[in-house]
Amino acid sequence: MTNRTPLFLLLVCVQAAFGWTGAAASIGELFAERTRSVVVVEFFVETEVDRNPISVNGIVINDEGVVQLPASAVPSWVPIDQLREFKVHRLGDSKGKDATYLGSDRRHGWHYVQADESLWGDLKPVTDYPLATLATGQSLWGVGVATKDLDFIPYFMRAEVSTIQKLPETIGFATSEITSPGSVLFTDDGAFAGWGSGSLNMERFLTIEGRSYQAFLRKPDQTTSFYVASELVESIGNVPVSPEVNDMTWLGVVGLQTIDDEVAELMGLDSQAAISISQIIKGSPAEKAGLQERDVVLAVDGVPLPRYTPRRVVVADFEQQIADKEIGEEMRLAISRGGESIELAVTLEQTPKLVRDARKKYLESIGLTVREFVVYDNVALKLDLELDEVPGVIVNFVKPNSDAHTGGALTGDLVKEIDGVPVESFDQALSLLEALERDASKREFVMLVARGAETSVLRIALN
Amino acid sequence: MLIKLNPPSIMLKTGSMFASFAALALLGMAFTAQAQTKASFDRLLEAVVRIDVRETSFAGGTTRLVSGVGSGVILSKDGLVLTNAHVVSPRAVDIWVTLANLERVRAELLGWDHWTDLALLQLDMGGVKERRLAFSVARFGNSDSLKPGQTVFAVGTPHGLSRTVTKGIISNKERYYHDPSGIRGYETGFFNTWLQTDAAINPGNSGGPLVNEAGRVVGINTRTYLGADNLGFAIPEKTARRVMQSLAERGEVERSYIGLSPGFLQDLESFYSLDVNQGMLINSVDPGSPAALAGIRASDIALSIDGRKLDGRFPEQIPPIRNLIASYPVGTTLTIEVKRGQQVIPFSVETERLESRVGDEWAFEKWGLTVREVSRSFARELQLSSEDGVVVIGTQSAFPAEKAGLRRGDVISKVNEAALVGLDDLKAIYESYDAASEPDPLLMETLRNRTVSFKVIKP
Repeated sequence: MTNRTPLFLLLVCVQAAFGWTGAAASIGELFAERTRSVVVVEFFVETEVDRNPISVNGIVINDEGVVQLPASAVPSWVPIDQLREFKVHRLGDSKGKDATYLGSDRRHGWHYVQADESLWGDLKPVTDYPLATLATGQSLWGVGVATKDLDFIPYFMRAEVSTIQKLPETIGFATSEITSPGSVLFTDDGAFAGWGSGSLNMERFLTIEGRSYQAFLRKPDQTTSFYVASELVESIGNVPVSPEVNDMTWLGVVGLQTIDDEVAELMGLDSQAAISISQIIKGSPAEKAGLQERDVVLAVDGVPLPRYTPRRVVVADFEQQIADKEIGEEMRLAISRGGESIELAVTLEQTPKLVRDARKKYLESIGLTVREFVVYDNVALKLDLELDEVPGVIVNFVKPNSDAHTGGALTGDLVKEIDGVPVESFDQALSLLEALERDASKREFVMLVARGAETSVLRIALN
Repeated sequence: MLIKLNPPSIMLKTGSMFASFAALALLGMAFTAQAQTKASFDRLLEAVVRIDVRETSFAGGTTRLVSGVGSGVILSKDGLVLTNAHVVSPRAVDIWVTLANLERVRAELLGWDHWTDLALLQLDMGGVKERRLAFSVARFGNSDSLKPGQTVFAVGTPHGLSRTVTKGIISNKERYYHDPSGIRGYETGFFNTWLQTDAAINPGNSGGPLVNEAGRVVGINTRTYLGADNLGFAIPEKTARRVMQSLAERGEVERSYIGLSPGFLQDLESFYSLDVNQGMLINSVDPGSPAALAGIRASDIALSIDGRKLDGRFPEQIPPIRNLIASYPVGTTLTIEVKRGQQVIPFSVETERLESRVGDEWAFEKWGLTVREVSRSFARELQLSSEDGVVVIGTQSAFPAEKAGLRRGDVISKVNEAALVGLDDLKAIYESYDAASEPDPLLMETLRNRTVSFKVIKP
């Protein structure tokens, strides 16, 4: 009882501040009000030939209609200029209002969208509510969101706290489905308890006509897991200055692996959590600081890496620590290298251009999109190049049954030569291809492309 | 319809005695030829055998015996049986041959060549003589003289059924088809084109002969297209005869390798301003191969090898060119004339011995782990930085390797901080582990798609 008292007082204060009518609002009243904190955001991703519609729930985070969406709302490689026609729907209202994409938060990847001003008055930020302190077994209720043909009507859900785990974000699990992904849940007295995350895969055995199958099933519209509100509110609202800004910090290591308990014991690391590094990107801050492949990271800035269950969560924790730093900030790493302990200081740099931000161009008459070569490609294609080396351009898209497709071009090809001319930069490759497109007398051209360990000479007939 | 089938006897009306005689004579000759053909065909049937094999498999983290059945054909009086490499492999533990008279005789493997999917067996002639068994010997025909549309027969023991003859025609005599990992991971089909037939070929037909109407062996039935009707493939006699000789003499076919992957020029001659009927496009050059070291690059056009002009415009022309390169003795220095832009440049390339991508395999029973040595071409394929180490091909449930987290495809590169050069190193480590009553745990470093992990093997 003793620790309930402050919460109760807080609740009374908040209620007083908002001029509620009674000390104990009914669940029905709470539900009606709190559904105003959830919206459905619709948009589509436009590609060279298709439009892929996306519909996702989000929470209102301020009085100016800013909505926070889960990181998974937009695939990370999709360029911002391909995100089109954002619309925000209030629950129970099939008519959407226009919205603007504001960008994503560098630490958690949440996306932000701002609803049209005409909607602001109808929305209620989740930050208006008191925060819940959760206990195992506690009863919670959530707002389920129906599908579009049901006008996104909100519906009531209830379950109890099953367990709470750090992964490394604090994640709550309920005894059964309690909200929709991207929607909210509360305690009985109306305190903000959590934000629905993606639902988990459930292992099931299916028997179809006597044959047994093992299947992993996941509900797209309901979830048992949620970000715990008391921690979530700390990270709410890191809206970037503009969608294009790249303020992500970069260490330049690839293939981080958790050292499992038995290996740690054999390496004499006691119960210390540790991460091994598979690859160091040439020219990266990690290389400049002297980090080497197979180094084992034990501590950051003097603090040993925390032990999680499952162990592999420490990798996400480490990545979060990198993301939490500023560009130019130093990170001290305690390393174990072949049994020897080393301390290194790395100065983090700005993340090199992402695939999402790479320049690209759709050459419609040939039927392919070429994209600037970025560091990601260097890693994915196992090239081990210096940071500024450009081995070619990447085929980012091949239009089905186009000249490029008929000639055998595949998405992901690294174009090394165009008509016998080695590719040295994106601009040069583009001008070569555009000249080919313009030259009406040109009937065919040849591209040398690399695929894995092999190359292939493609002949592209221009029709 | 009936009228057409039975026309009024124009022959009788206009016929003469001479015509009747001539017809009779022709008929008689045909009968004789038919009798000969039949005898020859019967002899062939008596030379086709069923082959039952049990062999060791390293697939599942331990050694297991697997059994299979195929066909073969006896091609010499002293008991040489030609069959497919995918029917009998060097891992065979015992081989039984069922003769036409249904008697079973032991056999052993004389030679193996997965590149052409051929294997040569030796019948246990001691046993044959002791038991006074008889068999007949098939003869090779000529695959070069085959014509599309010509009748052929496939003979074998499909699904282990006793001798079965199916009939079809030659659908195509120069089918191009290669498979980089077609025979349990081994490469096949690079050095020959195939005979394609619509004679029904089923599992178990493999290794049996494709014969002409005279019962002469024109090919060895090897594979069919799954999901297609009547697309069967046979290794032509021309290839089979040559490979058989080499297998009989040396147990293998040694081939030269320079590291070129040809492409076909098809319609590109004018683009590269080439003389018609000359040149082979170089699609890819294996990194570190003799051709790469000599300076040959992808998109070069090879014009000639040691003065022999190359014509590689169509897919069907590629296997003979690969075969030409392969047929030089290992260590030969070839002069390859290459067209690059407007220049023609001669390159000197010293050939290496051709190796398979599949390395030696072994089982470490107590660990529940089976591995394969990383070969040079496998390392190249995976873009590994070295060809050291072994790759996991299987783990057994609840055994130490599986409990440590090793999975198929992991490359074990180090054990206890010491680099693993090859399979022998791991065998030595296993022996001392096996000998110890309480072995120390082993720390293994593995690579999977460039990600380094550490795994502990303990009892």
